[in-house]
Amino acid sequence: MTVTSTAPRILPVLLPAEIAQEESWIAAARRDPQAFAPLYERYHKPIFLFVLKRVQDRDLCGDLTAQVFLKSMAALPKYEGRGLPFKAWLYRIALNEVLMHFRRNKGKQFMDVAEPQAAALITYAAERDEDDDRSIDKELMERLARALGKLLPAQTMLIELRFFDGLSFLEVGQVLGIAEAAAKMRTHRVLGTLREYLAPGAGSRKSMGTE
Amino acid sequence: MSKHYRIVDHVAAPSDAEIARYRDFGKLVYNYERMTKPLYKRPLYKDPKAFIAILVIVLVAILIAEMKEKEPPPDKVPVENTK
Repeated sequence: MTVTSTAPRILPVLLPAEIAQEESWIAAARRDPQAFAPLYERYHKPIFLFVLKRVQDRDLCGDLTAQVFLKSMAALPKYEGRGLPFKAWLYRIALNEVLMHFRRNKGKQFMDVAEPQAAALITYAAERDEDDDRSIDKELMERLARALGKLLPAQTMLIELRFFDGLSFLEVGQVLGIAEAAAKMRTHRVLGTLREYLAPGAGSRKSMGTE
Repeated sequence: MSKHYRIVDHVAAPSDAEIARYRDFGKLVYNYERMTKPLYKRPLYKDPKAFIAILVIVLVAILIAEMKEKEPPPDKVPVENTK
């Protein structure tokens, strides 16, 4: 069964010509900060939405997004393409910024998941066919929410990037700094853990499997 | 740190106009320049005027310190024992 994501993509898919253009923008931005403007225009919205999913508060999200771009501008001289697209690099900075924010503030992390995305995740985790007529009720969704809460941070990160942000395995790997095959294998392993947890009668289990 | 997930009917996404409120490239560049560029382009001690000003301040400070040392100590007032 192939794992496909139903989440709307929040990062644009670029054509080769657009990637080449982006590389010229990056080269120009290294010399002059004002030349960073087109990159900022292209990625502000996707990064804002990515951060907003994780922090909920719009003002805080605005601040963190600004911080992401500030750090990326400062680190631009050190950025080397070498197969890592600029968008994945930005995503990685954004993810680190969000994690740092929660580490500093020791606050509770909440994430809202839309029902269609949760249903898709249940379908994949339970290895159901998409036309399976067994209903995915609220109770099952609640179980999924609890199961996600019990996963390790590295495991939830994979699920979030793949199913809630709609990234491909290649992009998930690029963001997390692992190979595409490793991203795929680890996601399948996490889905297996979720499957166990979603199985009837699994609610009484105390701990989840770890990687 | 635990993370909590809420399954909701619909995740309200902000409109483009709302997101644009948080987009300010001018402020980003200003913050970048504040972060990366030093306040002074050349060190103060290499600027003749600033060097003389610093020298004068240091000399005045030394002079004041010397004068303070030469002043006789104030008479000691005996402390009354209140017990």
